[in-house]
Amino acid sequence: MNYSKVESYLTALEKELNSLSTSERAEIVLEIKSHIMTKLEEQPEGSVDSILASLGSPKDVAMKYLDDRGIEWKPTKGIASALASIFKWSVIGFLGTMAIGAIVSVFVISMFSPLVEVDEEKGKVKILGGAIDIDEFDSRDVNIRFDTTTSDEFEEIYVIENIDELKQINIESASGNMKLENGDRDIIEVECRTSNAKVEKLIQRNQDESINIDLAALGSSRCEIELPRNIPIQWRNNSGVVRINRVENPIALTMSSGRVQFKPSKGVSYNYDLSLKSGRIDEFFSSNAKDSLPIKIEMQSGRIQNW
Amino acid sequence: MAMFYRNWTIQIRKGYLELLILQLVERHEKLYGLEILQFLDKMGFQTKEGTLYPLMNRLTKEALLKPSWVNQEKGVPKKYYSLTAAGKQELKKMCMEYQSMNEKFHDLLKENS
Repeated sequence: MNYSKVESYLTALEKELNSLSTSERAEIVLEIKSHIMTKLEEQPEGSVDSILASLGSPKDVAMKYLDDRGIEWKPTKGIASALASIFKWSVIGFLGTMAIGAIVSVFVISMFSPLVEVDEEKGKVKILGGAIDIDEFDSRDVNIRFDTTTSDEFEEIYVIENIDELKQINIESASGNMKLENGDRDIIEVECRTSNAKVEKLIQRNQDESINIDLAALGSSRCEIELPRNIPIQWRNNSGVVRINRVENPIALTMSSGRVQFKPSKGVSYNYDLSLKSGRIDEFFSSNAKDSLPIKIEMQSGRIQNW
Repeated sequence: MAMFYRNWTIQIRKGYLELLILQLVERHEKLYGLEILQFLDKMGFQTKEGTLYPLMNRLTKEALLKPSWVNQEKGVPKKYYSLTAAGKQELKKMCMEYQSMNEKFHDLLKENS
């Protein structure tokens, strides 16, 4: 299935609806997405192209939504600014290319350094910053860990009914790259690039009013998780990178090794309880205020960054 | 003249479409967008999805319809619509108005013949 066409249609639609509030836009986009997916399920012979064509262009659909509400449609970009825009984007394009080149160089150097590291005690050789691990005592154990997990896409949207009764969200993940953010609706949305997208459902509600998100079933993957604020999160991750971006939930995260990047949400106070057996923890401002959100991170080795 | 007829059809269909949608939702208790499109299609009242969804959105804003998202065994959740108490009342009034208009028109036709 051609997800990318659907996604770019929905992104364009959301842009055209810029006069509406974020939650209204999200609601409309989700309904149109549900329509496209349901139509594909019910009529497998139909193509994404024909479904999108019968919906009409994102601009036409957006104008109908706004017309029906008596709101005037605002162009996402004015014609008058076209020339200025070409010049602006040429400059940005040039500077951007230079910047990307510089960032990639720094990234490659930092990712693959040191070039060779020999640990005599453990009998291990690490090449290219650990991309290749060789164990002296077990010659079979040559571990090459370049990222090969981006071949398939997995997506699930789960609506949380009776959200007031929900007590906790449990996340299980194996390894890879995870990003957690808050959304404006009572839904959990998981989008992953993975080597195993055959799994159909990862999210389920339990009788004790908790929800499980079982990303471990996907194996090593790169995922973005969006969920509502306030509900406590219990997260078990094996290794890799976990990015927590301006999330306003109490969190208890345990992982064996890797990196946690925590970006506090502005105007929200957190109470940190961070423990790391080996590695480095950045400085965090911990608050003892009554309403501060508890953030507990337990890790064997790695880094906890104030991102 | 063709233009006049086209505009007139658009206008008359608009109000009629709202009545049909509310009546369909009333009969089936709850329906999602694609089901409504399919029912309208069967009745020979083809409607574009780009017309239906903005209309459902407005009827929701007017508090005539109540949406509820329902998770599915597989795939994306579906948004079901049902009538609110206000929606049921408005529908009754709309039906009566439509019937009385229809009767008046039929009376006129009879007089002419």
